[in-house]
Amino acid sequence: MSPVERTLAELRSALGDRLPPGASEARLREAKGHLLLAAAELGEVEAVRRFGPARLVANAMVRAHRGYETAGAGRLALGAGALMFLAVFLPYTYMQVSLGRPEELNKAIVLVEWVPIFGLLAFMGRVVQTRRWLVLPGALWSAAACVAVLAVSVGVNPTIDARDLPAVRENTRKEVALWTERAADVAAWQRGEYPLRAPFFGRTYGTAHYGFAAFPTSEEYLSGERVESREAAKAAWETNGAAWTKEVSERLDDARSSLAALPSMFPPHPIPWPRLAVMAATGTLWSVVFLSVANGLALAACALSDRRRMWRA
Amino acid sequence: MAALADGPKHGYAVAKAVREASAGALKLGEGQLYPALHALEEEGWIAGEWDPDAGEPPRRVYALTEAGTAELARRAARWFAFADAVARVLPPAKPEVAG
Repeated sequence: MSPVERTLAELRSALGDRLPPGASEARLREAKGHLLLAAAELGEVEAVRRFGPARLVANAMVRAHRGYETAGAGRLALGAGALMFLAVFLPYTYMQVSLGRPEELNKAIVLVEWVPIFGLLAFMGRVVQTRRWLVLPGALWSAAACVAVLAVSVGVNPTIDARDLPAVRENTRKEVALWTERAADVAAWQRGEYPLRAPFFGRTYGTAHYGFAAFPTSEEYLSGERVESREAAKAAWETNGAAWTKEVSERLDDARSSLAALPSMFPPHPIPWPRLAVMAATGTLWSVVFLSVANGLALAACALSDRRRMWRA
Repeated sequence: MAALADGPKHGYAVAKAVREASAGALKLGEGQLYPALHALEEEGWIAGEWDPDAGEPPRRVYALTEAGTAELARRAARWFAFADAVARVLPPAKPEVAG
């Protein structure tokens, strides 16, 4: 195979199916014309050398066809931006809507912590494709997500009004009472009395945790698990006593702190627009920071990859 | 675009014209020229069409459009202003002493 034929074959392979068939054939036809003209003047080896590595030429042809150099950043970031919007909006909205359902809390927290990361990865993927700075449109999408989440918050928050406060206060008192009872159990176990009830069972989603004051305390999570005999109780205490003592002490302190802090845990209702604006601006500012770092890392990775490819070529 | 200012050319001729006009100082990666030409065509500054009389090898000939001519003038003016400003800042080149 001659150098020109090999280069054209490599170019065809590198283009693959990244271009529509018509565009791909047109590019190859044009490249063939160029190489043959150059070969007639300079010889095939020099013509191919001046043409450059087929893979890099193919990548540049694909980029030009997709408009990565010429299209606006907003248009290039559209798909990734929409994904980022959903990745921020959906989990935070789910969390807001799941208020009052403790069984949803862990799920909501996992969504809030992890799903936006996928949005950021989608953004970085788009940066790798386009090799462009897409921070500004990304930040605009993030700002839209912040405003949308806050708007939902305003819509959800009306359910947390003055009528709910006595119920929340009552739930928190119950929680304090239950943990006080557990502390009494711990004291009994420490005296060697081994009551037939473990002082700690399950978890509580009461007001002591996560600042969501509207959560009703779920009593079933606070009831003690029965043990079968004093011998079993003694064995359980020897294994878990130190951990139980610490846990009960901390939970009791949390519950008492929550009861004391209840009045300040409720946001003003409705949230004033200036405060909403500050919250949206703060969220957007943080997203600019994260997006800038993500964009920079993605471009740096691209530069390293391109340099390695050129060396191999 | 400046290489097309004096008439339509195919890609290889553009690369050759740039190399010769710059006395070899500007050597375009010739394969990279075509994506640049296609991008300019997307912008509407040049127009390309296959030369029906070219035979083998096939040639696609590019020509400046009206918009391209205006854009070339605008960018050339910007470049000359920039080059002039830099030249004013840089110290003059010292003449080489023979012998």
